[in-house]
Amino acid sequence: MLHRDLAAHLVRGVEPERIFAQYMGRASGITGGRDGNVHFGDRRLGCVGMVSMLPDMMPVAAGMAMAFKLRGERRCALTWLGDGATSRGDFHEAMNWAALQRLPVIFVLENNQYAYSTPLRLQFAVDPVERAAAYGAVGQTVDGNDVEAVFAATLRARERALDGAGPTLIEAVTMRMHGHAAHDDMRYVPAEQLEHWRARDPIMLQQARLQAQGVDVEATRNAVAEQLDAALARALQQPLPDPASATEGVFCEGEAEPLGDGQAPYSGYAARGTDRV
Amino acid sequence: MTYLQAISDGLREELRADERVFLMGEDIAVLGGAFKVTDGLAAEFGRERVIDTPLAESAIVGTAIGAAVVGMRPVCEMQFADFISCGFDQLVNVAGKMHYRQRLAVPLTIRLPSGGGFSGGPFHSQNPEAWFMHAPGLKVVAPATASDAKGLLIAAIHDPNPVLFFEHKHLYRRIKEDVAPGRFETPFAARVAREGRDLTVVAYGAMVWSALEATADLDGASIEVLDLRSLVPLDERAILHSVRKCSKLVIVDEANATCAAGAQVAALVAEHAFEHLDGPVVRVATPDVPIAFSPPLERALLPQVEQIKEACRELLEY
Ligand SMILES: Cc1ncc(C[n+]2csc(CCOP(=O)(O)OP(=O)(O)O)c2C)c(N)n1
Repeated sequence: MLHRDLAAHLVRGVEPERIFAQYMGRASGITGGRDGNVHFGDRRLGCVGMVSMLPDMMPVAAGMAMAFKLRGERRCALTWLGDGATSRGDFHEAMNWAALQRLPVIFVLENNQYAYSTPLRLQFAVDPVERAAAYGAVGQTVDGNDVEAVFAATLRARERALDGAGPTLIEAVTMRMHGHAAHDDMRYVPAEQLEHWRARDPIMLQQARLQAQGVDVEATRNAVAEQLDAALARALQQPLPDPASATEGVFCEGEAEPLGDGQAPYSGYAARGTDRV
Repeated sequence: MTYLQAISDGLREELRADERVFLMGEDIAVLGGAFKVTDGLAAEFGRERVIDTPLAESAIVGTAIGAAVVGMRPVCEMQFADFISCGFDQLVNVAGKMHYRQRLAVPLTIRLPSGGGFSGGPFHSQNPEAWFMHAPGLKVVAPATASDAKGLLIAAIHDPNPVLFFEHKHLYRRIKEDVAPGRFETPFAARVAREGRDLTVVAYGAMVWSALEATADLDGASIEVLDLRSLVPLDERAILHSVRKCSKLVIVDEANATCAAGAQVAALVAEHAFEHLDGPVVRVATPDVPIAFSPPLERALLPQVEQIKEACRELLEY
């Protein structure tokens, strides 16, 4: 599992405190201060940290899937990419490879309408999900603001992967609601477009759904906020890394440490015993 | 004007003067680039000449080569120098070998915002100049001053060869000076940033400023600082001249040490100025480690003023 979808890491079980520490370059952050922001992956949880070069992790995910297949494991790999990232050659190479070898891999394309300032119409002539079939993969579009729909689509893709039916490209259609980064006021995004999407806020949508089922969302929200405040306070107490350690670890000197098996809630692992995502 | 404005100014001058010149890159038109170097240029010259491309470095370099061989003067921007790795093949194998194989010129300029010092982490801080010094057929320049940024950029655009123009992010808004208006070329040659007699410090890019600061007052010693400006071609004459005069040499690289530009300078001096040396050639460089994100780690990796000072002091006493 690899990429910069922060929620995916949280679902995997990365503690918020370590994510805060990661963002603040603390020694207790997931990369120990070597890398910043969402460029991380907790190896023990079966996650490979992404690199900035997009979408370099697509072929890597395909390779993980290739190894699972070689070893006869009922296990699949999952990675995320953006609409902009589909323009690079690695997208093509990974799609072709994964489909050719019918690999158990899922590519989740978060189509949030913009790559930095670049809108879809300047990115591609044909939607990438429509190209999936041409590679021999399944392409599926889903409402990216409906968390349950995304879950269901991913589950289906996983079943297909584990049944040996090959890769799926899931396109989760959504919108980036703030600038690419703090410095970006995104004046290039038309106000109407933002309004359109604001009315489809995924959190509001899920909140309404849960409330209809009688869940006390407010109480959950408060409990989570409390947890996060505590995590942030603890992360702030963590020391920065020791400068003397800066040159350590470029090479592996001892035994190679394995990637965890990725057992996580919701992954289907527990339900199926031997299935691993 | 700032170093950054000088680059914008150079682009504007060339866009005005030569209709073969056009710009390509990710987010350079509407946004004006991640660092705003191309801000306003799309409005002035139109979206046909200031082109927002797909996220595709190999195609940015490859299409620029195609346009260049049919007579255009493309200037490409990498959002960060680090992303040139994704366009490596086109640059090294297509652009770099074109003229040698078939006498077909590739007048192409690639702008690469490079360098660290601001917690950019391993993928937004690199100084990959040496990757391209090693590949035949590519010129590599790296200005330290605002005037040189403009003059080297214009010279790069005029040059009939592929030129990699490394602009240091740390200098963008820190370096300010009067820059001559209009079009002028800065030669691909070294510049004496400060004259001296006792010891030469060779540097380029942001390290020129670190070297100047480190040696501004070194117990009265007279320190020469040589700003390479161009790495390919490397100004061997200027380097050897300075070393023969001062007899002591410190070389500063912000890049990872192994096979860096500074290693080439050291080899040159060992081969051609050995008998003029009064001490070992001393290198200050980033160890062969990715540039870490966390400030204390990054500081421990990148050459610091204190380190350069120490290296000079030791060599002076040798
Ligand atoms: C190969 C490469 N080129 C350039 C960049 C610089 N960059 C960082 S994010 C970004 C936009 C990415 O857009 P998209 O793939 O749609 O993902 P999003 O940020 O919208 O999730 C760009 C151009 C990069 N990370 N990788």
